[in-house]
Amino acid sequence: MTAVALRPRFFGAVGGEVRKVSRQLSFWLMLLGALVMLGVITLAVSGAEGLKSQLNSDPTGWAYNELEVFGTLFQIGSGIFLLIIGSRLIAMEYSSGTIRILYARGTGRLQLLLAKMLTLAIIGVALLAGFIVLAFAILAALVTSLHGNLDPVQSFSNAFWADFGRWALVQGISMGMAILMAAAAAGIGRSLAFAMAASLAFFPADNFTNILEQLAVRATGHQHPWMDISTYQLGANLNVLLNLLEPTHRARPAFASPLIPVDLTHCLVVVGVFALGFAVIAVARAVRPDVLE
Amino acid sequence: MAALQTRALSKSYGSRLAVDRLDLEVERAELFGFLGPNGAGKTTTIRMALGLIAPTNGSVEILGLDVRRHRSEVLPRVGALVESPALYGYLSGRDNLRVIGSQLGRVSEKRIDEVLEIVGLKGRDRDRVRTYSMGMKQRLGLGIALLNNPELLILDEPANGLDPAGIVEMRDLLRNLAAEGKTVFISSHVLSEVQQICTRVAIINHGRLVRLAPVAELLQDGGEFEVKVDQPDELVAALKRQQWGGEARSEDGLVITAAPDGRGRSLIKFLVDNGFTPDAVSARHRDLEEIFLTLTEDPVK
Ligand SMILES: Nc1ncnc2c1ncn2[C@@H]1O[C@H](COP(=O)(O)OP(=O)(O)O)[C@@H](O)[C@H]1O
Ligand SMILES: [Mg+2]
Repeated sequence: MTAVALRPRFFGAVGGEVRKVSRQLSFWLMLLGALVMLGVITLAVSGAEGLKSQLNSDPTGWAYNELEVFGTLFQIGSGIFLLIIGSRLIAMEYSSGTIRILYARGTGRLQLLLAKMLTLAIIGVALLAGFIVLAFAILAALVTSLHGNLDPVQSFSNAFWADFGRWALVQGISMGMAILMAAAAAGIGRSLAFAMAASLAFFPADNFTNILEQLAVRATGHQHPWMDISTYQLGANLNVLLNLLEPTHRARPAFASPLIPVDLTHCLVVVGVFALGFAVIAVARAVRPDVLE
Repeated sequence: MAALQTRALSKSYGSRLAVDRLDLEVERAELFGFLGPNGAGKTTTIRMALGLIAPTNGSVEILGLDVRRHRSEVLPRVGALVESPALYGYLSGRDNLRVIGSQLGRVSEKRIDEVLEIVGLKGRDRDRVRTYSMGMKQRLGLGIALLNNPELLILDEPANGLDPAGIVEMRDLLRNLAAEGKTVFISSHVLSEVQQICTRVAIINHGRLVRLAPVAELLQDGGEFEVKVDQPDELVAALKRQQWGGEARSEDGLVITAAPDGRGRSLIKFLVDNGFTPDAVSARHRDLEEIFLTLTEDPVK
């Protein structure tokens, strides 16, 4: 073997990152937790009243209900999962000092960051695909047990399937935002504890701000500027994105939404600006010349 | 072409100058010692050599190429251990080698086995690194440095955390690597660690190069003499008036002094000519440790 033949390779790096994640106990524990939650939700759903009659009378409405329940579970779960895995994957290199080994090998600073983000994106996509397969298997079993066969699925409207596609798209965007935020938090703090705390606190804080704004409106008797602020919050905009994408605006946001209605363009611009901001922070912190860890 | 060359390399942290216009040239296949007390600037120099921090001034060339401009070509040919080994504690020793190996490109399981064998971690490679002793971590760090079969090894205080037996093993290992034609650059604040294996040493203090010389030469020069006379105090006073005698002092009734042009016979002639006929004059035995201490005591000398 010759040393000269070895060059830092991007996809090799992705393989290494996958190994780092897959050896983390927390990764598997969280997946296990997700399965347990899925089981609990399944039990709750299958015990719901009028389930059978709704399936027979309004199969599409039934399908939308299930999408809402299972979809909300995924939205929360995937966000927390990627924020933890992501901030850990990036920040642990600083905390453990291994960043200096990687850089001292000639790995590019940007290349390492991109390899990590791509790894997280692959995990996110796999998570979404796995969840969809699992959720459909559960629902198929449910339909079969309620109806004796899968015929009601045939009568889910085309609009439902299109909205389901939009839901998946929104999940992709949300997961992308979680990855970018984790990268930014890890870049700012360059420590495991900070990155985890910051990225996990962001969305609860974001939702809580929404409540504060409502209180401020009541306390001051003025709607401005409190309600305006809410239209520029990331969480609130992500929460209404699916609804805005749907032609029938059917989806109900599970959490805080902007206190003044926003349109799709506004929503996408806000999300895009946050994405850009997180990306700039992550890159700017990663390419700093001095590595003192 | 030098394996490692620094030119007027400087680094300041704010107003503190950690490395000050350092010129080093390390030949290929050389075992080179980089010595200095704690805080002398060894790690800072090594971090600059590895492209981890940007020099404030000057440049580093490795294997003939500027590190900053050609880092992705040069650094894969270098193996390095910087300060205490940085490892993934939750991964096994073998997985540490694997994940670093995947960063490098293709490192085969066979090579990983070889490296584990070399650093003597064969039986423990499936255990989590968190459970390793300091010495084992140091050896795994060395294993990571060796993974890509590098042409140049840069090791920052590799003996830290090793027990005496481990230090001996490390020495043998480094000698073998040098015998294979690899260049080994090793820093230390303990001279005895490098004295026995290095062909040349650079000594730095306060970021500045104090001395760069073959070990043998260091041992020879700076030689002082012990003089036994009846009037040591008068002699010291007389010596101090000489250009070469500024360091003269008396210790336990003996006068310790340098000699004119470094030679014993010139010293004896001086003594006789000045009425200090000695009872005895002998070359003072100095070991490297002492030379190291005197060199690093007084940076302006
Ligand atoms: N990140 C840093 N910020 C400020 N000063 C530093 C930093 N790293 C090292 N120094 C200073 O630079 C000098 C050289 O340090 P270092 O290169 O670590 O020495 P050595 O490795 O020889 O013990 C010391 O005075 C140290 O305090
Ligand atoms: Mg040091």
